[in-house]
Amino acid sequence: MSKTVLVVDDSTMMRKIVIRNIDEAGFKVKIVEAEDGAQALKVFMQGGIDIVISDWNMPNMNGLTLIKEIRKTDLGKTVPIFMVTTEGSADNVKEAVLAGATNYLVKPFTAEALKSKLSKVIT
Amino acid sequence: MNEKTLDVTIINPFINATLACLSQMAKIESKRERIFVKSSNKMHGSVSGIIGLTNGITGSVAVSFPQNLARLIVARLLGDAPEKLSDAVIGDGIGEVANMVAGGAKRAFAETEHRFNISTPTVIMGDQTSMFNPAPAVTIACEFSTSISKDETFLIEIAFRPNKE
Repeated sequence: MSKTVLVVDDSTMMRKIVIRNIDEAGFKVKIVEAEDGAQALKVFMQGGIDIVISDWNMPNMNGLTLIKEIRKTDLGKTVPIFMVTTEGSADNVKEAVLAGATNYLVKPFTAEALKSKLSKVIT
Repeated sequence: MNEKTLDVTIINPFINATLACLSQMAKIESKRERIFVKSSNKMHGSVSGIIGLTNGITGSVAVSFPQNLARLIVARLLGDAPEKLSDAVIGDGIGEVANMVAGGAKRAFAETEHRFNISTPTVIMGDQTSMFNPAPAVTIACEFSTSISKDETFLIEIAFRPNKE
């Protein structure tokens, strides 16, 4: 059964770019989209999400808070969460990992980099 | 003396971020053609993404493309045919390019005195557009050629207030 990936970004363009990269990498997954952290949390709580890929800076609820909220739930204790963001300082990475991010990718990124990180959780 | 000094090396992280953005996200090789102090307010192209900079550097960064080149770049970003893209999609794409250029430079400056914050992108479209940066801001620009359109170039421009010495 294919896995379901929740792609969270307030930029429609960036969601499309991430989804294109997932598709071109050959992963056979179902994609669900959300345009901010608050919407993403609602979608996540409905169940069925296997992987979360989230931006950091978004209105309503940012990616860092989203990670913390997901990790508080029973559903979200082990789900892989990838932060894909322009916020790439060492402090940012540390903060995201401490909040519960599984992995971190800085924009701009190559298709190969995204594929490499996702291949560890999509089999 | 209260002379103002202009550190033109401030543009270098923006140049590197531009090259990385187009190479990594769109598989487009760009070449730096020239760096100059821009005296005109007129934008280089008809699609421009602008990001405000605050704190360590106060000003803005703009990426400006001719319409055709903007279309080709966004098509590469999305993996779509250029002719299928609407103006709105092209604008979104150039906004993302501006965001990644500013974000890349922000990372490069993170541990320096120039550390700055960035705004969300604004995109302006249309021929003969201008951008005014209040004095005493100066604008340093870099013109690039690309591997996908030999007859067109694009520009990044950094407008900022010089430090007082």
